Amino acid sequence: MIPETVPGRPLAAYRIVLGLVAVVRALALTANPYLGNRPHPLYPFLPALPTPVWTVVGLVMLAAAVLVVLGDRARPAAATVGICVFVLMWGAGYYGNGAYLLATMSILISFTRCDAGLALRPRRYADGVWAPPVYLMRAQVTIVYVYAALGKLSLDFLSGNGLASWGIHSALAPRFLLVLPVLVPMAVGAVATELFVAVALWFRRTRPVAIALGLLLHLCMIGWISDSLIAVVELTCFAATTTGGYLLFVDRLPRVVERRLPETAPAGDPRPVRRPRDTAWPARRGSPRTPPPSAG
Amino acid sequence: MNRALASRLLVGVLALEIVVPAVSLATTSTPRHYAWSMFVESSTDYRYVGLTGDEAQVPLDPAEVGRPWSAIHYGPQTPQRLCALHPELTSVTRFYDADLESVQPCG
Repeated sequence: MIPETVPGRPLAAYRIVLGLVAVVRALALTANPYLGNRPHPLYPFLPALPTPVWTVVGLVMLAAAVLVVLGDRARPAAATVGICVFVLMWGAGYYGNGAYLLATMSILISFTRCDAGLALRPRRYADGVWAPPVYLMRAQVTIVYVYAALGKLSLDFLSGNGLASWGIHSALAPRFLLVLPVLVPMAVGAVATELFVAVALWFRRTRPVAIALGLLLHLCMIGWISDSLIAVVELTCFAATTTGGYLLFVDRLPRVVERRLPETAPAGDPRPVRRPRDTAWPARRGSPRTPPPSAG
Repeated sequence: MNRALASRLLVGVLALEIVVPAVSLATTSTPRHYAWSMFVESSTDYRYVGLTGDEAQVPLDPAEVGRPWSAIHYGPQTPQRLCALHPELTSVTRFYDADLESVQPCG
């Protein structure tokens, strides 16, 4: 079933990806009211607040996003990012799947020990990175793909109409591809790929194919749907939030990246080791949760 | 918080992750919120207009050509089939909302 701990580095790398996406989105959301997108509540029962309020929320989100990237107080900072996005979505009406996914993942990553590595001030946990919250994030990635596929099971999409209407407005999709023998297989293939990636990420043997297909899917999405530079940025943020989640499924970062990173916490690190609060939790012999022998 | 309680809370969060989009998918129409629906069903109004030899414009119903072509609003196939059904037409024009999308010459 679920192991007790998972390696910390891939999770920390995803924290950085999420933080960078949050930085870009915080800038965009803060600028939104000044670019003609007037804020208005998503639901009528919420009060309409003046623009400066949303500017402050956006700037708080930006500061928290920077802390997430740096790994300094990363967990409360990630929770702050998530709350700010929800506030902006509901209060200012800036709802979008990308923003919603960022908010959800930010809240979920705040449950994890994402600050155990790749951080300015890494925290040391005596019992490693607890796996269940990371598995919860993995589940979220799968859930996004499954529901994205279910939402496309309509004649309108599978007949290629959706891809055709995007393609007509796209700056990057070649017009000669907007024909039936291309669009119908593309539409069916997109749904099949989403379902495959959702499941195949969980299995070691199929994971490399799932990662390659997932990246290809998101690249095609950016190329096919984007009708402006803003759309490219939006879709790239969404792709980074989703495909960055593939890191949660792997045990280590790619070798190319690992080689460039410093070793994990140096021996003799004077920082205190955080021990679990529930000391009554039964520790198995030889498990990573077994307390280290006390000095002397 | 001990881990047994934390585990139960996480199971609760997982249930929310699954149930919220399912409820949205089942109870709302597009554009849906919280359902991870990346594709909003096109609200585009496709119209087909035929042009006769005496320059008269005739509205055409794509349903005349039957499935699946009546539901495919890109490429030349649907206009070609409308041309075949109406030999009096010189061309079939497809409008994409207010915009002209394509003109298919007949014959």
